[in-house]
This record gives sequence, C-alpha cells and structure tokens, in this order.
Amino acid sequence: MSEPEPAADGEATSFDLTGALNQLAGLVLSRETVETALELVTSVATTATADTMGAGVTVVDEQGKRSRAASNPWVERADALQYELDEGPCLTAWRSGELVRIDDTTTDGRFPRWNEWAARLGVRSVLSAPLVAAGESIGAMKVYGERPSTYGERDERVMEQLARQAAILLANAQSLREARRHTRQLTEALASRDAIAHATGILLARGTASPRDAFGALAATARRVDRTVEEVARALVDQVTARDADSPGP
Amino acid sequence: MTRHDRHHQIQAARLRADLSVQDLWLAYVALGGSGDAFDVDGYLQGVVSLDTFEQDVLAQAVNEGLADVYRAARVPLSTSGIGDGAVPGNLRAIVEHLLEQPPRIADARDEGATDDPP
Repeated sequence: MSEPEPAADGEATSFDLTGALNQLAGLVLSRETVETALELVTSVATTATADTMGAGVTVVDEQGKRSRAASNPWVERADALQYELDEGPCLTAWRSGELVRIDDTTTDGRFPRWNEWAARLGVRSVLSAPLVAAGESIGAMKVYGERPSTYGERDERVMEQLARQAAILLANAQSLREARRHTRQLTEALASRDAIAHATGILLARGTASPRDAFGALAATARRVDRTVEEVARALVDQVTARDADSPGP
Repeated sequence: MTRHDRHHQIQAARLRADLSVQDLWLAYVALGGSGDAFDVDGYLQGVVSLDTFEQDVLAQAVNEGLADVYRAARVPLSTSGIGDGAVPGNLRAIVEHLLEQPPRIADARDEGATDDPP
C-alpha cells in the first residue's frame, strides 16, 4: 500500500471531498443554526486540507453582524487581529472575492503588520477563500499551517469547492435566522397595534369623535410624558381594566 | 410648512434614527398605519401620496425612533432618578385625565412636531 497522499492528480484518493460536500449540502436546515453551520464548515475545512493546524470561518449578515467559528483559540486570535489591524488574507479574500494564499508569513509582503503577528502566533501558511452566495461576498473561510508552503494548487481547488457549498449553507442559515427575526418583529408589531386599537375603542366609547382623534390624543399624551404611543395605550387599557376589576360586578 | 416637503423631513428623520424603510414601515404598522411597505417607500421618495392621518402615524413612528436614539445617547446624572424623563405616576395621572376628559371633536391640534428645524 502506498502513502495516501497522491502526486497531484488524485481527486478521490487523498480526501473524500464528495463526502464532505454532501455533508454540507445535506444538512436539515430547519434544525441548524448559523452557529452549528459555522462549526461544521470549520471542521470540514480542517480535515479537507493536508497539514492544517487550525481553521476558521467568518460571515457577516444583513445587519452587518459578524459571526465566526474557529477550531482553536489562537485561530480566533489571528482572525481578530485582522479586524483590529484592518488587514489580512481573509479581509482581502472577502473584499476581492478571490482566493488568497500565503506561502510564508515571514517573507510575504502583502500584509506586513498582520504577517508579523501571525508568525509570532506560529502561523506560516494561510489559505483563505471568499464565501460568495448569490453573487455577494458574505465572508471568508481559512486554514492555517505551521510550516511554510503548506498549501498548493490542490488545496486551492478543494477550498474553492468547499467555500462554494459552505456559502450556500451559511446564506441559507442566515436567511432562516432573518425570517425568524422578521416573524418576531411582526408579532410584536401586531401586539402593539392591538393595544392601540383597544385604547382607541375605549376613547371612542367615551365620546371621542373618530379613531383619528383618538390616535391624536394618544400621540399628544405620549409626547407630553415622553413615552411611546404603545406605552400610553397599554397604560390606558390597564387603568380601565383595573378600575372595572375594583367596581362591584352586577 | 407645506405638505409637499413633509416626506423629506420624515426621510431625513428616518436616516437620523438609523431605521431601514422596512423597520420604519413595521413601526408604522405597529402604531396602526394601514399602508403597505411600498406605499411608505413611495411616500418617502415623493412618488406616492399618503393621506394626512397616515402621514401623522408615520411621523409618530419616526419620532419614536428618534427618541430611542436620543434616549440611548443620554448621559445619566450622578444623582439617580433625575433627568430620567417621566416618572410612572405622571403617566397614570395623565392617562386618568385622558379617560375623564377624552377629546370629543377634532380640535386644531398644535403643530408641535413641525416646530423643530429638520
């Protein structure tokens, strides 16, 4: 039996790329969160590339909120440094939408400050792929190696394919999170609308001419006490309910 | 203040309150507004007209958004309780007053909201 590492041609022998891609594609999205999806992508990236000592994924959602996963604390540190210094392979991959490979952080001149810190953390090789979903760059995934020239053309191809699948998975997980957020906001909006409708009804029963006038009165009150219309409406409904509870029943 | 440039004011306030059109529409619906998101977007762009009441609801929604921003930026005083705005008793009293003497007919409401320069 020969070594599992093939010369350059072996697509199937060294690593089960198809299996990994299926794993990413086959997730039951309704049960997955952005966080579990990030962790999965990170672990697949670690095993998919040879001699990788750490991997990380960062995505940003519609609100500009960043989520990330890292296989270990120093990967997290190396990632955080990119944002602090505003330079680094992943930021470039993210912004340019193109793969970035560093063969040796001690000689690469593109990210001088980040390279210096990365080398101190023990990172010598980097491969970072952008996560592009529906034509939009939503983040980047990267693998780090402790020896120079860890990554070659084969790793680039593997990372590109993984990133393509991972981007779809992460974009879907984000959409799901967005959908949940919208549902929650809508429910809250309806509850507020109900409270205002109740308060309007009470005012109408007491002789206010129209719903518009009732809203005007609630808004004027809200302005006087520096509250929201919803708060005033709720206070009004509460007060009436409390009063009715106090008065003796028929 | 003509009705024509009110949408500009609301649009400017929306940006200041850092609300997306979607967020503003939702806040407006929460207050009882009945236009859809396209009506609101179109109104803000000056290509759709909203009736005065819907405009008022939208103005209230954006004003509450602005109030949130200012409230979050307020600096608390060392003497706690002072400067925190209305006290709860205040709200009770004023609501009580509102219940005792609800406005009956459309009175000429003060144009308080339009006093401030944009």
